[in-house]
Amino acid sequence: MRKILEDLKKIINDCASGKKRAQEQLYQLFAPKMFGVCLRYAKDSTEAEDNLQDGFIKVFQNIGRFRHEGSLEGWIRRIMVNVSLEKFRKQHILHPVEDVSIYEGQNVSDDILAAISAKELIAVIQELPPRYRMVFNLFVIEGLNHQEISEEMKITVGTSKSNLARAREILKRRVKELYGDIEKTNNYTAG
Amino acid sequence: MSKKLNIDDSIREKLDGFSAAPPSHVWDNIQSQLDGQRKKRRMAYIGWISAAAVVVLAFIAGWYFSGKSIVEEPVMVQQQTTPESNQEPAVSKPDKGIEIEVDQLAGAQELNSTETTTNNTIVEDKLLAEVELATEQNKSESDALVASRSDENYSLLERIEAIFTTKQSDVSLAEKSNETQVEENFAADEMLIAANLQSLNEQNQQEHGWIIGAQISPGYSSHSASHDDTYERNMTYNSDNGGSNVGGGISVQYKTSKRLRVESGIYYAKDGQKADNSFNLFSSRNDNDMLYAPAPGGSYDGTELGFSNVVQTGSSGGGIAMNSTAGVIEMESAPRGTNISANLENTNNVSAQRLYSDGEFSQVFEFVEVPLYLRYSVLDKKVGVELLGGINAGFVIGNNAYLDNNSGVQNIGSTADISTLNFSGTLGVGVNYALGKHFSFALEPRLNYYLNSINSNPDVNYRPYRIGVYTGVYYEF
Repeated sequence: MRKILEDLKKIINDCASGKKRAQEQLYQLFAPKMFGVCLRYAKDSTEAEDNLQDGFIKVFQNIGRFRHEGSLEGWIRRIMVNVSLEKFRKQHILHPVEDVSIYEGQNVSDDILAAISAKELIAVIQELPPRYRMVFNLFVIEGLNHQEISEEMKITVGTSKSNLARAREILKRRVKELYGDIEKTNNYTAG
Repeated sequence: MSKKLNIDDSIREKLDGFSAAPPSHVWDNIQSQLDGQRKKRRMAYIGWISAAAVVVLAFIAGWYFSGKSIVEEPVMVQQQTTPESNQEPAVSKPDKGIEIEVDQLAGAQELNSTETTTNNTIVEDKLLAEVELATEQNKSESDALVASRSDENYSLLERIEAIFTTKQSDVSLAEKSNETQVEENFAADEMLIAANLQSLNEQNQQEHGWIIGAQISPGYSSHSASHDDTYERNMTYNSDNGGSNVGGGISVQYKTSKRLRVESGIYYAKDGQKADNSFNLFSSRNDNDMLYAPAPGGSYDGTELGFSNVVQTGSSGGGIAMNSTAGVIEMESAPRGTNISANLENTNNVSAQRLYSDGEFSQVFEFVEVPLYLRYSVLDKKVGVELLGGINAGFVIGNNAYLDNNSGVQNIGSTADISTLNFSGTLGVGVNYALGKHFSFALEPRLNYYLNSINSNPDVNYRPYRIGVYTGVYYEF
């Protein structure tokens, strides 16, 4: 373990010195996991690839600033999330979220969720309207609270809360549609 | 609510550790983008270096007295060493001190001193350190300029990358871009060297060169004079009248530095003095009480002006000699319109006689002057300002005396005892306007003042001066 940590430290230092070999090593080490992160925040695989690419460029540009205080993975992950958020801000700042009509909460059993794969779940998340997707990811996966999300996304706490609620509803609905043997309802209108 | 939270948890569980292999082209893109940034940074860095070189050269050019370009040499030399060390990267020994310095330069976290690194890495670090140290000096200027950029910490890294690429990479892509970077590096160095040489050439061109010029000078000439008492008593009216005249010539200048030039050439100039006839107080209309007879042409009531001048006859060569401002005027015979009489007061002194005349005497000297001037360029722009000063050797080529009276202007003789070779000093200010790359138009007010009396007669100290506005064109080549 000690050896791995030392190796990582050396890789970081070499990356900071701009060595290609070390950059590639770092990329190989973290790319799959970070791609998973990017996929959650993107509407599709192409956007996720773009964000992954931009994120790693930022990582290599800024790795000299990494102070070894937290985990490197957390640091890189934070960069990926920031890149994704930045992309969202640029793309969707003028686009109002589609109004999803309110519908009754859906009951989705844990069995269904357990049954579907992460990949399938991500596919469902990617279908969410962009802002719902962001709020959902930040709250559920990154563990941010609504106050933090509102600051991060320049929205009100109320908006964050309602977005999260709607994201949940849509997700459950969608999961049920796709994977649950549940009678479809007609009041779901989100695209 | 707890139900929802459970869902959240299960989703988080499922997704938190999720990873998926990104397509391989993502890494390719990242790499090419990083290379692109390196390239951009390198170009920016070359730009800054060039700017710094221009500043250095301009400074040197301004430093006109020392022609030695000691400051700029390191720029070129160090640039040349960069690709060399890049080509031969395997000669250095491990050096911990430098290794640490590399870390600090790179802005990375301090290196764990207990860490054991492979020889390979140390060599590489050492190599980086060398280049960094070598380039640090001559980049300090551009560094300062770059410092305002937000990513300054990283530009340093990128520069290291730009100059150096890792040799250890087995990836063919890396090797490929490594080669191209070395080539670019050479190209960059060549550009830099070429730019430096060009600047040097331009500088040389400006610093050394020839300028020929032709000027014509409308001017005003006068004199300062003093005389021995005895001489002065028998002199015509001591004139301080000047006269206008025209001079001119051609000049040759050699640039010894950007701002300093040495000038010579050959000029023609005319100096002289005009004197109203002397002793007119005895015969003017205001002097009716005078005891002397009026001059011919004059009248007792003073309505007509007449003049009488003390002259000597037979003293030298049988002619008539008259003391005047610039010296003794020697006349072979009495000019037209004048009369000579013996001194009525003293019949014993037959040689003391008077020349009665009206009109105006003048003594005119023509000079050919060979200057030796220094010119200093105060402002070297489209409109330039120069200061000039120096001495002239003035050869007297014309020496004439004239009388302008009712009979017209007549040459009555010449001035005695005039030295052939005289020296004068010149001070001037020049304003020139560049008409093109080679031609310029100049307007130069100059003061030319004779340092010695051009008359060798010890009784006479006569030093002409001249103020001229030299107007002309210069051709630089």
